[in-house]
Amino acid sequence: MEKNPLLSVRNLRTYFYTEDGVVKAVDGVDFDVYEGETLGIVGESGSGKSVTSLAILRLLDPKGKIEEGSEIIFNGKNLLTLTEDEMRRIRGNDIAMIFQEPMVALNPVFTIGDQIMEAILLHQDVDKKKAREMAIDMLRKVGIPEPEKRIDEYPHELSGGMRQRAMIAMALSCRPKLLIADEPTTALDVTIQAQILELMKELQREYGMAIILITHDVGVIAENADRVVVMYGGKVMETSDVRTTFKTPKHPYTWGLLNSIPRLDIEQERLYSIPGMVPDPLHFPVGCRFSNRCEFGEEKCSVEMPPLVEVESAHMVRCFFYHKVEQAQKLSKAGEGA
Amino acid sequence: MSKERKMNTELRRTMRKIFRNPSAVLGFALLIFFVIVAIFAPLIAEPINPMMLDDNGNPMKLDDPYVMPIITWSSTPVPPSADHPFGMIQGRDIFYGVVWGTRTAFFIGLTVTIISTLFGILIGSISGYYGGWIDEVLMRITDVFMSIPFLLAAMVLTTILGNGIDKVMIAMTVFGWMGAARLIRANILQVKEEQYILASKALGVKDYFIIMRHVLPNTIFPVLIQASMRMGSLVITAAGLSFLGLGAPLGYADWGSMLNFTRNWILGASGSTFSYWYAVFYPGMAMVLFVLAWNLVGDALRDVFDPRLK
Repeated sequence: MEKNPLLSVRNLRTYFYTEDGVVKAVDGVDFDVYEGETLGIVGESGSGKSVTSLAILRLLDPKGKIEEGSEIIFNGKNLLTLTEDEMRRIRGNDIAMIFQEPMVALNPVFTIGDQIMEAILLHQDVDKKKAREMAIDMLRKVGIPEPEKRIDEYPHELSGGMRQRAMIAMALSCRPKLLIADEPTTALDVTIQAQILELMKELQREYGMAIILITHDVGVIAENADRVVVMYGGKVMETSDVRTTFKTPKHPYTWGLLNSIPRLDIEQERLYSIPGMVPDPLHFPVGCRFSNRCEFGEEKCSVEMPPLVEVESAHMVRCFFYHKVEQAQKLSKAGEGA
Repeated sequence: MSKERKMNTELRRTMRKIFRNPSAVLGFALLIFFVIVAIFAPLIAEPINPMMLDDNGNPMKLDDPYVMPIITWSSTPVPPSADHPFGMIQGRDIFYGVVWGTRTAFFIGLTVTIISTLFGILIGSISGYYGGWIDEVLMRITDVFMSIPFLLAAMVLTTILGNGIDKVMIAMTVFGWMGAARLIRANILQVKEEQYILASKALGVKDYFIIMRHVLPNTIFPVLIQASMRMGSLVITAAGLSFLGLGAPLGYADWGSMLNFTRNWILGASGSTFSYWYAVFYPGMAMVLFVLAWNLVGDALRDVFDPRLK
């Protein structure tokens, strides 16, 4: 049964016009998010994953432009053709966002209750008393102890994990259909990270919302996402369900990413690392953007951009020589077995 | 409720901080003193003219208490006496002028500071928040206003508008908002990059509310501190304009125009330099203490509110 996607991003191109030239931060990105699922977007810094998420909410700073021909269809409506007022009604109400740094994503001069109530009063037709009750409920839901007391505390009185919980309470207070989580746990320590991700999963089950989980942490994606989009240099390199991508990667970049994760089950002298650096977005290689760092590349790669092709059902890869990665994968599996 | 209790402890902490600092105490004490003098001016210096009696033989009430009555025909300043503790000059009681001049000082200072600061905040916050060409246009206009020497601009404007306290105030407001505008713009540029601004945009909060609720509370204190310091200096400027004959009309209860009276007597009589000291000393001292009070209060506020100095 084919479901209609909740959000479809089509040919999203976001360019930044700087004094040094045009930075093509996101250059032709397509993906779908279905109701109730978690889509992971993984990539290095500068791969365009955060810009993609800001573009969905149309919150880019004025230098960044979403180019003609891009489409962001949410619930059947193209968000890029809405007026600012219509867009504002969608933000927070239908699509909410949580951020990387819970330390700075809350306003220091207001109590967390004030800030959660602001979101509720903005999108729902309730009075202050009711909004306060709803905020307390929400804080209880995200696992903040003694919410009746905590609601009147200022952000600096809460720990990092508590603040991220408060952020989640704020984002979910209007029961959005889609939650964009931009590196939600990167600034937290590992135990808190696991708790927050677990909380997000629980709330997702309860509310049936979709989540776009943006991170550079492949492990977080593997544990929490249903499907994954691997981005590099503003382009989608590989996308499929999580299991397929992580079991049988077909793009050299994905392969490199997975190989650079430390493993406890095999002995490793040195951790693998992808050679080279992320290219300067002002001077991407002409052909495939990964060509200057790719171990499998050939002449063709540095002159021609490979298309994103479906190599198996629902498994898309942007590489001319993905079969080489398949072979390498088989070899290393065999090596492990021996 | 716990919220109220929290506010109280916050307030008490702030008060303690202020009262531990002796110069802050002095500043607030002086300010309170001036406020009391201004409020009770009609009791301290009764607005009556002892030279003119009504039908019952009582001194007549003044039509306008801010116009100092002429109470002696002596052409030289009269030294302090029991009836006129600060002495008399140009036929007017200096004590009366100093007391009612306090009201004038507050009136000029508060009005000009409030209007010019509000205007500056408006310009600066639009400029800083929206950026781009709006910022460019508004800041270049600000630059134009700043490039004109203040005293010269104020003098030219009062010449065009005509003399009078209100005209001086208009001139000081027109050429006095740029500091606040620049200060708030710089602060907003900093705060606007904070993630909580982006977070509230992502919640769909309107621009107006983002500025009012999230940006200004985080940027307003430096401007308020600057405004309190300007309160004092504005009074000096107004006095300067009055001294030049551009401000208050002759005989108006204003410290600056009282100093204007002393122009011929500043050097004293031949042979005794300080013989008319009281003519300069009392209005001058009132002005110095008034400015000092506001500066100390401004310092105290900065110490309390500036997180970098905590």
